[in-house]
Amino acid sequence: MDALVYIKKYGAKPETAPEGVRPVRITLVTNFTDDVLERVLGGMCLTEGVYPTITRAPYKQYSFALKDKTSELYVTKPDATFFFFDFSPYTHGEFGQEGHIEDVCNDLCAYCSSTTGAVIVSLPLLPYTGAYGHLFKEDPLYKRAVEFRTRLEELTAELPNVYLFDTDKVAHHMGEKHIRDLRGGAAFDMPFTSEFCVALAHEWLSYIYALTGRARKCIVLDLDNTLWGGVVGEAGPRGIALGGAYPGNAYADFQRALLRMWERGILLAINSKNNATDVDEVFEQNPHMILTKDHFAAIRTNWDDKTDNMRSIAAELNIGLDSLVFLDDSPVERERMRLGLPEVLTSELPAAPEEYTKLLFSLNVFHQMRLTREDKEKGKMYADERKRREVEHASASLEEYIANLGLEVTVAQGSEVDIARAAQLTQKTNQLNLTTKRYSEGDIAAMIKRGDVVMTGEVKDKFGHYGIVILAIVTLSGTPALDTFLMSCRVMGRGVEKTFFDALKAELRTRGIKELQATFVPTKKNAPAVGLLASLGAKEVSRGEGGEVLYTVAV
Amino acid sequence: MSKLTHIFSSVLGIPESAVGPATSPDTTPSWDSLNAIILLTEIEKAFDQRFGYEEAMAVKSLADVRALLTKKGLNPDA
Repeated sequence: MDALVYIKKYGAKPETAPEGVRPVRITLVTNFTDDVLERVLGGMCLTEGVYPTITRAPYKQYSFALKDKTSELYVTKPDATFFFFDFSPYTHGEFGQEGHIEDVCNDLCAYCSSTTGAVIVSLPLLPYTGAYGHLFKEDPLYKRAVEFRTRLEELTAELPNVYLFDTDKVAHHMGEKHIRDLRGGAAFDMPFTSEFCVALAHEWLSYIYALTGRARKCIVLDLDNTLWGGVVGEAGPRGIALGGAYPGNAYADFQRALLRMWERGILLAINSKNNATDVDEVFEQNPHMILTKDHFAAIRTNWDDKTDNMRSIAAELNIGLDSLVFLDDSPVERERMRLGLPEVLTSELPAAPEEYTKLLFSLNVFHQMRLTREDKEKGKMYADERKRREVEHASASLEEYIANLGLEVTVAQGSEVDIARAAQLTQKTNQLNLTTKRYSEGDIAAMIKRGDVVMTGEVKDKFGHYGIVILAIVTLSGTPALDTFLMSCRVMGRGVEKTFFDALKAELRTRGIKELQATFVPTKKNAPAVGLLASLGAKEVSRGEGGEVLYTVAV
Repeated sequence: MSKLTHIFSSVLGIPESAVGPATSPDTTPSWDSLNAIILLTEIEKAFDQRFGYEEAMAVKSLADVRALLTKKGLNPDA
């Protein structure tokens, strides 16, 4: 969308966050006049269901503000801070001066260590001046930008809450002439076009999605003219366009791109109006299929309404409709989906298949702050899950089924905790989550450091690993309280929470704690967690007006 | 709605009905120096026209913008 739309939206920002819109505190630090960037980012947040409160470093004062621990940058405690410094090759700026990089890196380090929120540092666009021609690596400004980049990479290795964004990605897509506004830079210190501000804010927004648990988890695909060319019911399993010459190669490339998404942990599913036997024949007989049936976590090939199929896919995978992306070549089906299930992200799909992959990569809604081992093995875990369902069908009772699984829970505590995974669990878990508090890696590290009990559980059974899927945090400043208790839906209904909770209580007893306070805070999504505390032996004490329920637990 | 009405209403945060030839920094407090720059670049983009720095800085009201566009052979009501 156009910058004007976002500027207008931000200008009409309501005084307080409307019902159901998540408030997020954002800080912006740049070395240019960044009002347009703020308004575009703010408007984009509002458009996407996030209520932003944005603080900016005063114009040209970032060096002072970052050194002053009482400045607004420090006291607002942002959920996310975005840094972006311009090393313009065309105008004289402070980054051309000796020592400035060192100074900024020290400031950044001090700032990043003092905040527990996520700090996203956008790397400067690499400055290609003409002065040194093709010997650009000799250019002092270029050298400084590269040195800055190296220093920032070192910083991310030291501090868990620092992330790098490669701004050159935007430059690569748009081209410099669409990014820089030379008159703006020279006359008003606004060196970038509003189109660039939109593109940059769009990239930054994917971090906000990830931090607020709104990243999408699953791509649901149509088949005919989406995953392959032509209609399988007419052309047959070998007659569809796939592999070989154009357009078959374009569809094969799209499947390869989807495979890469699957390998990093994005689930795939099928929602197609087709005869199931025709589709099975493609999987069995077409030698050009890149994706196999094992890559799909759920398959709906029938003549039902696609919105009904979508609901049943979400239910089967235990994820929300707002975790799904729908790709279908039919504008009619897309429109039906948008009207019927607006929570599902139904993307436009270009008419030509060679454009599909680019569209997929540009969606920017799957971002995660880190890739954990659990992400990379997720596809296999879902295949294991199908095998478990077969055992479930063969077992006479639930008890027998659970016994057959051979479940084991391994607990990690304090310094043994995988901080990246613990933070990710708070960001991604919506259903079996008592309080739905989202934490960054910095938050988790800080809690461990100050001695709160942070405990995770890793689960496996005879079919495979579930990975680290349970987390509990008990805060000890004041009355001991269960700040967070959550588990992945994949281990729901298997008694794992009981084993884990017993381990948590045992740990608390070693610290002399006899009683624990716990709260259930209802959200739109955590209905499955309503009875969780009672099932673990907690006693209800009172109910608040917002529906929250206070419990005590005898340790 | 004309391009100018859309731009002035969006940037200045005022209703479209409040946008008219008399709209100026005097009548509209949100028309500050920063919004003046945003107005300028958005108008240039919408009309695919680059103004000279001097003539752009001489603009003191929406009527001035209309006159400037007319002078360039553009239709201010587009």
